[in-house]
Amino acid sequence: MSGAARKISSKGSDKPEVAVAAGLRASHEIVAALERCKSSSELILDKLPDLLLIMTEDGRILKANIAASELMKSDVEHVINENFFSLFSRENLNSLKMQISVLLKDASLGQLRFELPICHLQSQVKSEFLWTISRFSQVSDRRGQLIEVVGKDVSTIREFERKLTQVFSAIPLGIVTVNGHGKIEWPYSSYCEYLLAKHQLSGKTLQEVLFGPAWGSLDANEQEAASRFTSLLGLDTVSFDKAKAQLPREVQINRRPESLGNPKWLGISYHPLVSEGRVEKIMLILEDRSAVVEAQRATQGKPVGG
Amino acid sequence: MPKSNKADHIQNQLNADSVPLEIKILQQMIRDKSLKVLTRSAKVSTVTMQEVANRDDFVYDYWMAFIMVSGMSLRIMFKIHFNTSTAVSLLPKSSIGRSEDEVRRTAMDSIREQCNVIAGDIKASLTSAQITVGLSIPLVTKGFDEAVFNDKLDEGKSCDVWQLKWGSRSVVCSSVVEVLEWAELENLHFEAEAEPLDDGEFL
Repeated sequence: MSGAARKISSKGSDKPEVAVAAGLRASHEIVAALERCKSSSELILDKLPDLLLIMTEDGRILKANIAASELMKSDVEHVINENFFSLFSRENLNSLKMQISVLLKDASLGQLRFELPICHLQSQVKSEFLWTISRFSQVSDRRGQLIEVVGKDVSTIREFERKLTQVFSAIPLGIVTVNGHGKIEWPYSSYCEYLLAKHQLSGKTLQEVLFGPAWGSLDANEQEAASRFTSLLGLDTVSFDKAKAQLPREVQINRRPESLGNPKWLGISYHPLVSEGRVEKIMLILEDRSAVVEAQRATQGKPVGG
Repeated sequence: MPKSNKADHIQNQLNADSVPLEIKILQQMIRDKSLKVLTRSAKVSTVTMQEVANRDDFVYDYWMAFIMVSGMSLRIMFKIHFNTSTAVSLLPKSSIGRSEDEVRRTAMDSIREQCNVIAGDIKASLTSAQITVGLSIPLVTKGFDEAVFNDKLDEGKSCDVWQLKWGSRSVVCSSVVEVLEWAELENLHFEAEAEPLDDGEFL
């Protein structure tokens, strides 16, 4: 018998009821501690900046965090039983219902992500939201399916994108980015399409739209460097700076069909976009230098455009 | 349980005629105890008991306090579904002037205590019928947990849901009764008590 057990025994407290009561007290304390832990976890969800709610198929809110309640112009306690669908215009509500229907019909779908604007109650101001909907699978579908909704306000990001697109549409410079796979990615400035006389550059390589059409104007070293352009991706910045010195800096693009105008002289500069010390993407800035080059050639007595 | 059987079971629950007499007595006893205790707490002359439209809902209110009365012959889960403002309204005037957080915590403790008192009354009635039971500690959790609590309904469990209203306030109460030894319930009887309880105040 241990010392502790002997001590209890010596006090005459070794009755089974005492042990049971002590066990119950211990269980109660554990349960009460778990209650506090659960409450603490709930608080984290309540204070998430993104909105989070659980609703029935017909939009009745059963649980919502503070962000969701504020959007519904309510508080977390009184938002229960309000209808989430009231945030959407008729057209957008139809889209939302269609997404819900797709989610519920296909059991293999984990979640669906889509953008849909909401109309703020009372003010009628619209906000762009990125929604992620999934089945709330912690309960059975005995009383119908429950849907978990996470919403992120992307209005600021979309507004920034709109402004960026406006800048990219108006700027008289070719700005284009080549991604880690050596392909041009969106966004690029509209002027690129004019300079390169090609549309829809996304997904194409520089060889297709820039170096290829200018191949005749490159010397052997430039051709060699241009053909190894994609090998610059992944280099460290020092190696990139050395390698880019070999790349073509001024090329003549033949415009096909010729009705698009005379060949153009383009100035090219290469800028690494670095992540964790490695070149992840390369941004090119293309400048129309035709007027400058032709003026130089005219003063040197060389034929213009050749 | 197959889905169709579950639906039948729920329908049976809603049809009072299919409920055994012992369960009816227990359910009436629990309803009466809840009405009596909350009438005292609400400090109003009339608290009315009403039926609830959807007795198999996912959630009834934002918070839920619950307690279990359990013995060898039966188990009873009793719940009060409420919101913070209702819980605060049940507090005595002596709590005015405390901080909002303190009032909120006291209100939750008060509802726990209501659960405890109701369960204590149920235990006393069962004891007088030679049915030995014990009480769990009362807990408060989010009302949404009801969706999980009542997700699976066993045929041996009988659910009851009712609403207690006074003025502009209301709470929903619910019980789940499971009988393990029917023979033990032979002496069970219940008659609503008419005499008022002693006035008590939760501090």
